[in-house]
Amino acid sequence: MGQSAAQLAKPRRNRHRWLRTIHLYGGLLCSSYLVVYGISSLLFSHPIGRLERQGPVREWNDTLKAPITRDDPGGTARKIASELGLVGRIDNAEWKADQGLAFAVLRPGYKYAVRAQESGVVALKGQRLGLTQVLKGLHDARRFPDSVPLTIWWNFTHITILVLLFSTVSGIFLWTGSGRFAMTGRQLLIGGSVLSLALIGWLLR
Amino acid sequence: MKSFYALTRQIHLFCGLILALAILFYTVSGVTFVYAKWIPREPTRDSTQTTPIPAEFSASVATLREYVASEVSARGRTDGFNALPKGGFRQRWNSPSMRVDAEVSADHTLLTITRSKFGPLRMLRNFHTLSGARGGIGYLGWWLLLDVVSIAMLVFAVTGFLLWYRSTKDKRLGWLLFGGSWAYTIGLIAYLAWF
Repeated sequence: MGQSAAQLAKPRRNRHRWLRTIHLYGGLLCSSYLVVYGISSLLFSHPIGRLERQGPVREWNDTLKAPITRDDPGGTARKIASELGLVGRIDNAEWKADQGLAFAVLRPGYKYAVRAQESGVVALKGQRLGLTQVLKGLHDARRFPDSVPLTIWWNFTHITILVLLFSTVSGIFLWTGSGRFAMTGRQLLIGGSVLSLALIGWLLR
Repeated sequence: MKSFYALTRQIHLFCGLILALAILFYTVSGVTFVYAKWIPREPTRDSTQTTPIPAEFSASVATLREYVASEVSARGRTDGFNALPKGGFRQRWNSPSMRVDAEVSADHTLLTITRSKFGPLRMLRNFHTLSGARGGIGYLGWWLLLDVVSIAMLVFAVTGFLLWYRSTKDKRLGWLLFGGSWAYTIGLIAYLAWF
């Protein structure tokens, strides 16, 4: 015996309900990331952030538990940063003839300049880079294993990527199922896609 | 008059449909940065050709520049015809798919053109970071598209919240996800910027 139209429509309704639920709650979860992503993209495209003043440079000294030896500059810099609790990406680690090991530690919104002598004495300079640099730093997805809040952000990035991909595809699927704005929607989807592809094609030629 | 809810829904839907492909493109190109560690480096395909410069063009910088422009059929952004510290000149053109270097030798007698073609992953990365109007109408269009996509992210967040608020009776899970996500994000930004 054949199934009725109502019976056939039920699984489809269920599927749509699930898609809508994930679309809705995934979007709510990632709304803050989308706002940060949107604002920071605008900051990358336009030089608004250059107007912001950086904070004052703070200088201080510290001492390592043990002297350091002249070997791999990157590895030694990572060990020093870890011992001093400096969170960030090691940049430009280099042994200088008279100044010991010089390197920078960069994280969203903060920059350290470190000079470590072989005796274990370390001179540090730290500077806040401002709110716009924090937002740009959060957009520039990097992993900071030493920092729990930034590791959560790194994982948040993965979740948002999945949600964005899912929401874009599921949004179109939900629209086709709803039957609303069928003609206008089709025109907008095709028009926007053709325009995007034309731009990509123009830039690739 | 259309209700506020219907208008919000229409804005959310229309923005999504117009920008669906651009958003997918930006997301996929962003993936190449996030998962850069696991993506193997792509070699560029380079080709170099050296040709003599006719004597009548070697006389001045202006004629050399003119000659280079006529010899190199390259598209994209260029940083201009620049003097090299070792002598001679170089002009570089950058596009998402290719980089072209034209180098005039120190004695102004030879022109070396190097074309480096990028692989698909490098192209995606170049598109993701491409902004600014320099380079022609296509670059201006891409820059505008990037801005529109960025603003659309804000629009999706606001309209999505309003649609959820209007359409859901039991708001506990929504508030938990929304509140948790915003509390963490604002807390993280404040911590990084001020503490």
